[in-house]
Amino acid sequence: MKLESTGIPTATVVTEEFLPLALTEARSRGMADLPLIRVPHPVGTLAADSLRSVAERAVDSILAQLVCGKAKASASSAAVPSAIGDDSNLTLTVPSDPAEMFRLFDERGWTDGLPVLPPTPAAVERMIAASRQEREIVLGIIPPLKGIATIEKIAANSVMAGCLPEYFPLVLAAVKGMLRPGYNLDGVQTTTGNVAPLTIVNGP
Amino acid sequence: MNQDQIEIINPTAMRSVRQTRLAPRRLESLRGRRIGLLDNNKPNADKFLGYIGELLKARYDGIELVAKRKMSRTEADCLPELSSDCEAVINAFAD
Repeated sequence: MKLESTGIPTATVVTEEFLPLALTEARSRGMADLPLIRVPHPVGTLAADSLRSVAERAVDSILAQLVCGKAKASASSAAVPSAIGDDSNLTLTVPSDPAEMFRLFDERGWTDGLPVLPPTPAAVERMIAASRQEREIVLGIIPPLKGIATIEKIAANSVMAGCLPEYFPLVLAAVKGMLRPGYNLDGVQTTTGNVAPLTIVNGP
Repeated sequence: MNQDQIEIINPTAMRSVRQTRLAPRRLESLRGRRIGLLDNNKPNADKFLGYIGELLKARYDGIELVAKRKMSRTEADCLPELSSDCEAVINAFAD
């Protein structure tokens, strides 16, 4: 994407497994039409002959993206996960029935399947009050989708996860820690390797 | 809002995204052009691009290839060189 923005045409080859991630990254970085060429997954374990035939099948699609006047064979019709909402409303109305509410949250990707509590204005307010900070304060940009982490959004998510307000300052400290460059949250969030953030809390 | 609904704070964040345009596609052919091959240091990515390079050389006279490697997804040390030396770049990312 950096190369495209400096005027150099690119073609990016990704394996099928990584296509959703590549599309999500391209979209979240403001270049939804980044030319992506899909090849079967995985290529990392292929023997030379098989790898060569993957290259032979991909080369025309690559050329089509670099040379003008050729047909655009884009992979952009594939489904893109949309865990993050495009809804800019500050509040939403949802079914009060717990099962129906959970179904909606699940459909929107707001839970990984575990039960969540509704972030009602009152509950979010209690959480924010415990932080003694203004709701609009921005702690940083959360990769890879570049969500703007305000105190209010972190509070709403903490309510959903069942966090008690008195623990909220700890959550904020953890978010700040994860956003330090050395933590490489971008890598942690997108690798297919098995990593998970761990916070060790020590004190009275 | 009727009785069967409640109000919640929208838990999803606004996104910080600046839209960027693709580079214009001006090349009519890769004949005699310098083309970058950028791999991501994953197994076979370099070999895959090597085969692509061979196929391109067989098709286009005078094509020059510049192979580079990105050691991590955020590292970008080789990008200035690619963008000043090459007229198009082929990336091979992910396993």
